[in-house]
Amino acid sequence: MENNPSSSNIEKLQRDCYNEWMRLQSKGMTELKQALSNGEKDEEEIREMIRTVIGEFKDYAVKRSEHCRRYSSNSFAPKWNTCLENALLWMGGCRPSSFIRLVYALCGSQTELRYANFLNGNTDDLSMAQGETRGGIDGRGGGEPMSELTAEQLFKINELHLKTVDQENKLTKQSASLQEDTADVPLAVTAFYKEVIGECDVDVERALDKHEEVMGGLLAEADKLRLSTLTKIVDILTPVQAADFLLAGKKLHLSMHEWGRLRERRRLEACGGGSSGGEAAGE
Amino acid sequence: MAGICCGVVGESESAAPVDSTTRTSLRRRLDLLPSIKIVANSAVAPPLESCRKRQKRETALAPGNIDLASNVSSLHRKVGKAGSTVTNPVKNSNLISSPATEAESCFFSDVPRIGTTSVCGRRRDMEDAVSIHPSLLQKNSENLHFYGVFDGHGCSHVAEKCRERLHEIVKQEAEAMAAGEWKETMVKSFQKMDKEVSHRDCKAVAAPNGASRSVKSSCRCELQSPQCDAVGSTAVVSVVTPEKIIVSNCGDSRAVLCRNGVAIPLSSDHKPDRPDELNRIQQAGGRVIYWDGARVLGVLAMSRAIGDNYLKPYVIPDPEVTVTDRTEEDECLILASDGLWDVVPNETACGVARMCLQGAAAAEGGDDSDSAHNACSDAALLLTKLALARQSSDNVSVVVVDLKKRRNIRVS
Repeated sequence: MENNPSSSNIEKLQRDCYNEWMRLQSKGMTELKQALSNGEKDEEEIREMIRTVIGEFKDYAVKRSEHCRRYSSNSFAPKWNTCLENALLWMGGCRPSSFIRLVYALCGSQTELRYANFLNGNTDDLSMAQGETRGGIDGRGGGEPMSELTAEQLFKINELHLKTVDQENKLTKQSASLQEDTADVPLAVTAFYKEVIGECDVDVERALDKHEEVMGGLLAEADKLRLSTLTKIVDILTPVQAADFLLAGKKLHLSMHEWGRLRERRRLEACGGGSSGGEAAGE
Repeated sequence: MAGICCGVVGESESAAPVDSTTRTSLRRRLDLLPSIKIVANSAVAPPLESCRKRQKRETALAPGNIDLASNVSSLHRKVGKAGSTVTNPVKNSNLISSPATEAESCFFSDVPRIGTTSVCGRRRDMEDAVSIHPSLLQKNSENLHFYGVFDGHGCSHVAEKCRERLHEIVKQEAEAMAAGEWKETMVKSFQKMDKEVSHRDCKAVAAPNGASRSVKSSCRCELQSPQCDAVGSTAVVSVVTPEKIIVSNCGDSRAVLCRNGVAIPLSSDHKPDRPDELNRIQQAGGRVIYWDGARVLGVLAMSRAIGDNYLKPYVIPDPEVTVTDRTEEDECLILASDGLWDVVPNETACGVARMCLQGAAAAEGGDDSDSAHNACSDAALLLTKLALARQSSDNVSVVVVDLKKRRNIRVS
């Protein structure tokens, strides 16, 4: 990339875009945590924060899409991601359905926590829980907001889940076709008849340009789905639940990045052959 | 799919586990009943109302709706059909909160209170279906209610078909039934259901726009005829009369009665490694192979199901039927798919449901039908959440029916 100034520029723009996004993730995490830990929560403030977070994601997606208009491939496995993250990537990001998984994970763990508290006869928890206004703002102390998911919310989440999986599958199919296309006319056949490996011609250039363009389009579609899923989930949830959910999402993203780095370091230190270090750590 | 994907390890013990710690702690917790109002609070009528309205509109379009929406639409159908019973289904479906007058509540003496939740959960396909038909029919001036949970595998269309049709078949058969012949009636109904499903498999491929119109568009196998044979569904169906609870089961969904705090399973899971089932399969010439749990021919992790033509006669659609006399001590009936039972033992489920029902009763000061109804919804909701909490990897469908007889009502 050093030899190609224009690509380096785009690369830099893409990297900057990512770094800015990670900075916002980190900042958002701190702010959400702050807002949620306040005993007296300002619902309007939380709402505003949620709007900001969603807006930031939207901006990031738009910017990223602009940058990958001509060179989209590296967005599918960016250098700045760790290998772990790239291995788990779906169309340049997380699967939209994983947002729903996150809702279930939070709801489940918080429900179990509450249930355990009942079993232990923890009346503190009960009294605190009883003081909560449902859908409103409760003290984080006794607040397991996701455990309060109502039947209606659960129904809507389920509905969204099915639609999201459906759309995800459609995009995955498109991506599959695109991947298969590379083994077809013109690329595969041109490669076969070229004497010199790597020799380019107009047809190849055109085909690859087209390929990157279509992949860029897919990425934009995937981002659109991520954004719409996120927005819909946040709409279904109460502000406090939504803040909790967004916080969890940010923490997960940031954590995966760090865990990925840790494993990368371990991999570099590990000797070849035998067991690779850190296998026990899981994901 | 549950049957195909889920291991059966531990399944047999979850049918009647006696976890003393859970039990004692449950008992301990049940003393705290008034406080569980918080949990019970988590589902209220108004949101459900708007939700249901929307479902109704979207039923035809959104594939995901089917399970819950179906209940709603069927309830609405009933409303349209029989004017005089309007308050009955409406009340059940949580639509209206105005309490019935004395006369009405006497008239609808056996209006059941029901809660149901059905979610895709951690799976990517929804193959569960739930069917709720309170007051399905009158027989000898008794009101008969129908509840069913179906857990499909291979695809969702057999479960869907069961949701659409089984109650109608049962109704037909029950109307023609001689007094008390429930076992035969249910067996016949299940066999009919199975025939319809098998028939449909062939027809749907030939005329995808006609016969299968009602099948949701996301049906994965619709155009893959050879696969259609490899689709089936569990069915646990309960018909509740003023005097009896009839449970008819085929597969590994389950019905559990909560009687005075004790969990009584009213069905026994059809697992290929259940000794009598294993025997039956082997006698029929089939084999049970352990491949991620015991599976018929190494494929299906249950020994009975509706559909699954390619596994006949090893996998049969014949249900096992239990008929249980209702008592004053009956609290509730829980029907659920293995998405719940795989991770929540019978005792815990009963404890949770009971806690919600009693909590609501205590908080509302007794017999308010709506609070009781919400309590059923809460119980179903909480059980579902608990299943999610315990890493259930399957679709989770739960139906909770309140069996407490109300004070002002004499059962005919």
